[in-house]
Amino acid sequence: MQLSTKLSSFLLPFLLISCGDNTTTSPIPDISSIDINDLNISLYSTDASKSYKAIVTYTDGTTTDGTKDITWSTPDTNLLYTGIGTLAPLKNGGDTTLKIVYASQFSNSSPVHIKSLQSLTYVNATDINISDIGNPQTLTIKGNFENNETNVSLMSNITWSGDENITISEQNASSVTFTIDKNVSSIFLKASLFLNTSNQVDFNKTF
Amino acid sequence: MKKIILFSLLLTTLFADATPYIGTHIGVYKEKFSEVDATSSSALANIKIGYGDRKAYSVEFSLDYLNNDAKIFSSAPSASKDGNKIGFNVSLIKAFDFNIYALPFVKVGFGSGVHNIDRKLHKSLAFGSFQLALGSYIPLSKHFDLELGYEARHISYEAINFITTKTSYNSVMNTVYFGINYRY
Repeated sequence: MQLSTKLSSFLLPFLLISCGDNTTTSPIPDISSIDINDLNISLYSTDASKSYKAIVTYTDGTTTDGTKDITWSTPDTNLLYTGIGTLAPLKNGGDTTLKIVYASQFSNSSPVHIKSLQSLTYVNATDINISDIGNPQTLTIKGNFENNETNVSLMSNITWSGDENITISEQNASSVTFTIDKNVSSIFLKASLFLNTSNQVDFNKTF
Repeated sequence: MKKIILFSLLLTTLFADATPYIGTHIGVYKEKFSEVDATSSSALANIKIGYGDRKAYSVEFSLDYLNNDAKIFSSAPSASKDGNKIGFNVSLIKAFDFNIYALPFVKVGFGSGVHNIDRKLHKSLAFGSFQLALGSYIPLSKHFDLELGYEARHISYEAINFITTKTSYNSVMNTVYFGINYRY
């Protein structure tokens, strides 16, 4: 009797501890995937930059914004600038791929298309007065992109210049303002897309 | 210089009857996590080497092997449970001689180890631990003694990477064990 009591006392803690249950389904979710919030990215060549997100999805279905923690890249660095969640065109048209990677374990990609600027339409060209010297004149412009879209801002990536007879004072998303300095028979305007890069494209106009 | 001499005298006094020893024990444990509702319980084995007096102070180095039957960290569908743990510990033991057959002791120590798991970004997790044990030596002869003990261990695991955040998990492990030591 005494032996059995002692044995019970000895075995009791073992039994109490070993009878504990075991968790059989992990309560800690794992990473399931990383995704770009736009899987068919399209930029105009005159877009300044656009922001995108990298979404981290977990095995329990929850998601979080992992934009700052993911590596963003493209194989065509001459075509597309990739920052942290930011893309910007570097060329007038082209196709490439945006890739997001984390620790070589997770990755995803999206095709990127840059819509090219085909030509410029000078909306009020007939209003330009070559004889008007010293007064600012504003020329309204529209871009004609490859998808026939014309209502696109021309503010970014375009630099306006002219011949030695005019002074350009302002440019914005849809117009350029200049002053004719001398009495000449014609003036020359040039819109340079991606000025001073290997991808520079010029659109010339003589009035 | 005086401090060194005093420290040497202290060590000489503490380990006057000290001898090297080796031992092993087996036990069962239950681990409860703080941040998530998860429990793990299974068996463990331990081998140890130490130096000291079983009636006074000892320093002990030990290796743990913990079997695992729970799935807490692993996410792979093919993993029915997490892997096992291996740990290394350093402990200081103070035993008491009350002129009874048993020699109660208090053991404090710290350790570190590796827990094998199967997650996308982690195949193992390092952990650190701090432990406190109470138990008793039961001398069988001059060289052999049995060891019974209860140990409470706080474990802090390496942070898990969730890409946007890193989260550390902590647990408390209660262990009862039974073993044998041989003293030279």
